[in-house]
Amino acid sequence: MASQGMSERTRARLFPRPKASRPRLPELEQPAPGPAAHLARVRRILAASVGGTPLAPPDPAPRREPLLALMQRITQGFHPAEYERAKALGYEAYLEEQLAPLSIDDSDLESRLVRFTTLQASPKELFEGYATDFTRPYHELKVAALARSVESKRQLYERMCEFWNDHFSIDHNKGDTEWMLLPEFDRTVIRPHALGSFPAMLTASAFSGAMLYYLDNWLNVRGAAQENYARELMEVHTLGVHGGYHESDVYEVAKCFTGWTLEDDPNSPDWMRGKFDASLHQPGRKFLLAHEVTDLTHIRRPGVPLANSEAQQVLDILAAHPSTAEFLAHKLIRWFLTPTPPPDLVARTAQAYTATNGDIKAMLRVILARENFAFTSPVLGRKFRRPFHYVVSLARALDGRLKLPREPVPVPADMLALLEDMGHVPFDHPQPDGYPDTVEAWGVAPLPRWTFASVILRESGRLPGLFQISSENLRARLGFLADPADRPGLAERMNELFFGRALSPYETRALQAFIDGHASPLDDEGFYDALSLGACMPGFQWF
Amino acid sequence: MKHCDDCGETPASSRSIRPSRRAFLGGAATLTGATVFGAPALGAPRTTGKPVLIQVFLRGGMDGLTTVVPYGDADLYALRPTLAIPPPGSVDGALDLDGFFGLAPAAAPLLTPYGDGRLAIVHASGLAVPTRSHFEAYTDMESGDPSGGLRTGWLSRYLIEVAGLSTSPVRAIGIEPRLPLTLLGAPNALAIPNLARFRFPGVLDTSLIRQAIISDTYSRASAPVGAAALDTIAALNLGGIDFGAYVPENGAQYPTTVLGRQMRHTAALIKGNIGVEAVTMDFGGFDLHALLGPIHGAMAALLDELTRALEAFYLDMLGHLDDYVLVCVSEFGRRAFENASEGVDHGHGNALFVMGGRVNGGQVIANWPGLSPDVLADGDVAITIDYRDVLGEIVQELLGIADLAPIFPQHTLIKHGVTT
Repeated sequence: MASQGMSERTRARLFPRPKASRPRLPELEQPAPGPAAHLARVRRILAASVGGTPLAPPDPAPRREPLLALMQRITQGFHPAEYERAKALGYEAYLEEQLAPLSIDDSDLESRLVRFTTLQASPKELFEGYATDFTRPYHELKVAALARSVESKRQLYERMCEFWNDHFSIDHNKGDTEWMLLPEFDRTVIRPHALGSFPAMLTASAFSGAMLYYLDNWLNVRGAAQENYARELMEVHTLGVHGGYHESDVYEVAKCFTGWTLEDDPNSPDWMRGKFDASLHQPGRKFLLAHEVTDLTHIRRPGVPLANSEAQQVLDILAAHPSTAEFLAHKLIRWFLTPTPPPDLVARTAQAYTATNGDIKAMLRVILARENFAFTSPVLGRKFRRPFHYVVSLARALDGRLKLPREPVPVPADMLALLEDMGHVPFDHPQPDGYPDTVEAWGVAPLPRWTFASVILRESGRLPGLFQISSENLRARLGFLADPADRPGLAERMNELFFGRALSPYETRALQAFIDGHASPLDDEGFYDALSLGACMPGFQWF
Repeated sequence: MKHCDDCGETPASSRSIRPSRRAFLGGAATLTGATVFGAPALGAPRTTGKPVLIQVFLRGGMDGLTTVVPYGDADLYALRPTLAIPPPGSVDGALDLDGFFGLAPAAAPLLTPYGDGRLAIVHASGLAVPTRSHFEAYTDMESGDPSGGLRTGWLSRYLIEVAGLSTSPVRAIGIEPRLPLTLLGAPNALAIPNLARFRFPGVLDTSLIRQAIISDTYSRASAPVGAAALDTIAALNLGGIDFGAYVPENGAQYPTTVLGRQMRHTAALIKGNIGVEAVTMDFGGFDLHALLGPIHGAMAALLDELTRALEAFYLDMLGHLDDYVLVCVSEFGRRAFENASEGVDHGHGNALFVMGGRVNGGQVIANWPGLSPDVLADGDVAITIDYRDVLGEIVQELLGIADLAPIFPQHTLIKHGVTT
């Protein structure tokens, strides 16, 4: 496997060990200059403002006007410039623009990503170029996902690509082969269909080399059929585990997919892509969910494409099934609106799917309707940022740009190492259900998030693989030009301009108290210290 | 095999763990004496007097018929003509355990604790509901309430039951980026992906102030986020245990993999005695529908890594046998008969392991149901010992909880002599 770790030296810098010989700080009761006085002051300010009661009732979710609420949910993170642009367009026009990604000029990012040539390569080209060391393609796929999420103007589209890459989750680390198949999967299965037709995406995924390899169908042959793909196809790609299928259906679908394998001719440009081998196909009648699947495989008629007959029928039956519509509706509502999707909205979204034969945009128009983002909307619940979203949101807020190397060397993996500590490296989920999307899953490991907030700010100029940010730019955006004259109201401006008003009034006051009490000048280190504290606060963990 | 960049053995002068240095940033305790806004801090070593429960969850459905081969059951060789491990004495044959069961050759390191009577194997065991879905099985099994509606983890409910005995801010640790469902809803449970890096980031001069502000603001955040943040601040540096310099005892050699690091750190954590009552970790990759590789392939590689890590932990902890009880479980076994992909699909009954000082080891505990077609459960090994009987016996006998109803509701415990 390719290395994605950082050096011990880098580690030591990112995760400093406190010096054992450091003197103890004075007790709180005897305020002295320096950190203890700072802490005492922070506490006095907090105590004066709310009584300082620990374990107070939770802060309520912030109330946002509908367009801001929509922006928070359909982008990979708030940015004030994007918000201003959206306001100029208005709610409906902004949403329609984001639903039509090709209408949005993204040439700046695309021209920067051109140097990631492995994103465009076929499995054969990747094998020929990188079989001995696949670090470069391995890193480029993951880093491209980060760069696109941060910098693309097609924000809803990137959010949907992330959603579908989880839905059709494939582990980049499977066996010795997946690394050369997954770039093509992202390029030809996920990205062309992310806002298009679900049945088309399902079909493309089923016959892709990456999926055939990942769920072992390339080895599924006549005789005792093998069930891996068949089961996950129904459980996680279409019907859902309670979608009404039985064990016998799993076995029938497995038989329908026998013979779907990989092109093994090393001279073929389609090497390691999906192909059908009729000689490996299980003959005989097959049934799925009370449908008979018609066996055309052994009927030889000129001009009739035999290759995908049974498998395609299976996919058509599953894509058209009401359980699939409901499963996708439920999952998309969770993704955009609330951890607890209300049944009537699920039903309406599923109806849109069925009425349009699986048009993803039609579902999104129901989910993203203005009424769902109103102040009083009962269907808008708090969403906890997954680590990837947290990382990308913070980078976006700070105008981060991923530093891409000029030479086609492997892109440095510092960002990936930080994401690894958070357990959320793109394309690395080890099981076919995709990374979870719940606060229960992600909410009990705050420290790696706090570390990231500190590292992205403090190390941005020093570590080559991180998002680059500019303190001059950030200071100018905040109007923080003269310290300490510009300190008053700084936390409020950070909240407004960087955090999308995610911090509660209480948190904003705490941040301001930290800034006010800071003994030394707010040079870059002090400024970043304050900013990272804001990003560590509870408010910014939700969106 | 998942390698990690800091899993190598670190040379150091001391032979044992030294939780000597009170960490400078240990929960901000230096400033306030004991608390930051009411959160208890890690301080002096403490103990609940009970062994630490360790769960190693084998994700993906571990093939118990390969790992612990019922070579005495002739039906096995009809069901798996190419994949079954041959009987002892054959080329690549099983390592005999009791005249009926044998270990896969790749699992040979388990013979060390087994031979010492400290490792028990329970076979034809598992989750007695018919699901063959990984994700449904995780939910049912880890909740400990497959027939009911409880979705908190069974281990969480155990921790709640004995909450009064502990003041530690970190009572359970998943050495992972996320907690397993086993610990869903647990009090004072944290996911800590690497114990050696549990340190507060950023400028040292403002470290305590930022910790105080974080504690204060998170005390107003909803569960589980608020509590986890407070526990994190209170438990920073994990009592000053120096995981990097930890040297295993008795010449134990952990694999230089993520699992090896997790087990090594678990040993250091237990010896450091900071009040942690449960540790969990996952070891995945067992979903081998195709190309099982029981002798030289994928399955053998997984067993090799797993059992070397378990053996190293056993040797390292020889002087602390009563300080832990380790269970190694999977969501289900695999289909009794092989498929045409040289693999095995999702199955049912399975083998699990229990290791520790008060384990009635050196035996395979089983009511072997047989493998003839008429006794298979939908083509798979039947379950004759409910996994909750094994866990329940451990909780009752070794952890001292007489009433198991809150932990495994709607289950009547049948003990199988797993503990002494």
